[in-house]
Amino acid sequence: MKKSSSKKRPAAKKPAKNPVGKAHLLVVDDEADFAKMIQKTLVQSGYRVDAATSATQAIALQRKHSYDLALVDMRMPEMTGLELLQYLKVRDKKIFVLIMTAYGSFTIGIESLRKGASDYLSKPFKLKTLKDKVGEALKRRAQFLEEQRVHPERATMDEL
Amino acid sequence: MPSIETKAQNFKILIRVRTLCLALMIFLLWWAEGTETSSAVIVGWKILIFAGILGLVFVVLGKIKKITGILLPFVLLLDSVLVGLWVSVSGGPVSYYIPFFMLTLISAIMVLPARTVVVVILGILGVFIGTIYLDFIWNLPASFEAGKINFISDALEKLPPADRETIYHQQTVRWFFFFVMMIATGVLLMRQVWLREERVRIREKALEQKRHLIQMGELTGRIAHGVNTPLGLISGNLELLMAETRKGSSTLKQLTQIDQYVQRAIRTVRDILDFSRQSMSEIKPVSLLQVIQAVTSAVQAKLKKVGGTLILDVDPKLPDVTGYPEGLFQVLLNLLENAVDSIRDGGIVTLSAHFQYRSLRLSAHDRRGEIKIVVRDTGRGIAADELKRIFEPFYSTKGFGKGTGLGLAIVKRIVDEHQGSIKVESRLSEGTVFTLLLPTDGLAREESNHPDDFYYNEPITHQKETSE
Repeated sequence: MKKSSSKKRPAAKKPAKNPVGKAHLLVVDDEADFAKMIQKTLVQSGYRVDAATSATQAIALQRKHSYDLALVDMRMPEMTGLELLQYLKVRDKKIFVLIMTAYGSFTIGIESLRKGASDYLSKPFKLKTLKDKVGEALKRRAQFLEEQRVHPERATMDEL
Repeated sequence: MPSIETKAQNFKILIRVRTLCLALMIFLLWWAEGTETSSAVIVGWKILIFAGILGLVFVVLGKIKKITGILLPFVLLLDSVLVGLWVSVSGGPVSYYIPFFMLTLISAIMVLPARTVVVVILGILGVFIGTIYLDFIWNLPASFEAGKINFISDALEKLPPADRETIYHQQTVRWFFFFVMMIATGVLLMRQVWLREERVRIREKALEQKRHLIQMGELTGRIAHGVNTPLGLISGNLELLMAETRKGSSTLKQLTQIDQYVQRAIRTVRDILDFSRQSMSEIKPVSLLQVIQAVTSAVQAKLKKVGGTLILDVDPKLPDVTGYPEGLFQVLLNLLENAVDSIRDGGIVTLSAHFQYRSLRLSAHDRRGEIKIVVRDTGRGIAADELKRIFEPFYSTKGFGKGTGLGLAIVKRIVDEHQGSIKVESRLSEGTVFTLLLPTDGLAREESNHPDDFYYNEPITHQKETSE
């Protein structure tokens, strides 16, 4: 599932061609079963998906691979989803992050969007919703990369 | 600017000082003249002294136990009456009343909105001018010269009958003037103080309630979290399983049924969580524009499914509302979702939000207003007997298992927490209108505070999806 990915160059130099089809995703949730379930769903949808059950593991995985999109649980033992989000973003400015929260709350949603998440999902969610949101996020990422390619000085993450 | 509480406190102190002054003056009068006057006058003064002592008791009470909003106006009324009585039996010059008026004036300035202060000042000025006119222009007899305390009875005895008549007349007019003015001022102040005390009390109560709710919220939050995770796993795995199961098989039917029940459980937990969570977030200025934007995007999916149209009529200059962002989001989401649920293909949901001045204002300078939000749908409507119970918790018109009956109860509670009001009108098969009024301290903005001006009020139309 993730053999070839270790040879990949960092995301900064990756061209933005057809990002939806080959998208490489990272799922982070301390509930191992939950992470596995999401992984399975997204693999079925044709993505390459890695799963991590802790923030440390997620960070370690990000060192080896470059991800297009990370799905991060809000409540985790080591650090919150928002902290992990910022951490991931520092290492890879082009990564898109979806926050998953069990307190399906508007403020947490707004807060995570403000901190740079591209969207949020309140648990429990329908897997179809998950697929839709992932697809949408990847589409926006493709647009973002395209925009950045055309106007490298203009496009920043904040504008999206 | 001092807070309302500080102002109310200052005002209370002033009221006590005023009562104390009154009692002292009455005592001085009695001490200076008491022994030489007729028995009827002495009885009169005894009554006044008793009243003054009563005032002192209030002062003492105020120190021991806070004079509450209900007692305070009575203290005020009492010393207004005392001043009136004093004026009616003594013939002293205007300067005697000045301390009372100054105190009334100062306390008025401390608590009243500008316009009412102007009214009070004008009223007091009127009384002063009237009194000065009576005292000096009408050439009162020498026995009423300034600086001397005179009892009517003593003075009148030394006067010829014609002068006596004049004095009676003037005294009555003056008495009437002062008494009416004092009562009017008292009533005015009473109303204001009562209003403010009431507001403080409401706030205190809300705070108390909030503390309680935070504990409740933590508990329910923990429960909901504990239940949500397994529910998420169940529903997710169920979906995976259903995708793998052959279409039309009995297994799939059973799985679908399980899924329905799981979805119901999820909905219930979510509603209970919403119901208990409102007061957990902090109060702050909330941009309704942001909330409306979030809500409209949240109902898109539902709208798409039904094939309805959403028309936004939102003033881009809406001022902020002080409250819970979470709660306001919930209110609008529930109202919009209900509206979308009730319409059929081609139905229209309208959301309008505008600023208006409050219809009941304290004064012309009271520039505060409210935001009127109207959610209108062309759906199936609600029957009149159902309409009465619509805000009751656990009352649902959606049929067993479809709704938890908490949606509008949540709305009502949050609106109450924001000291707003909600009204519903409905006609069967014509539609329903929810009218929401939210108080705001802010004024309408000069400029739109949304960079994109995304409310150009274009209808968002969705064609009904043929296949899901």
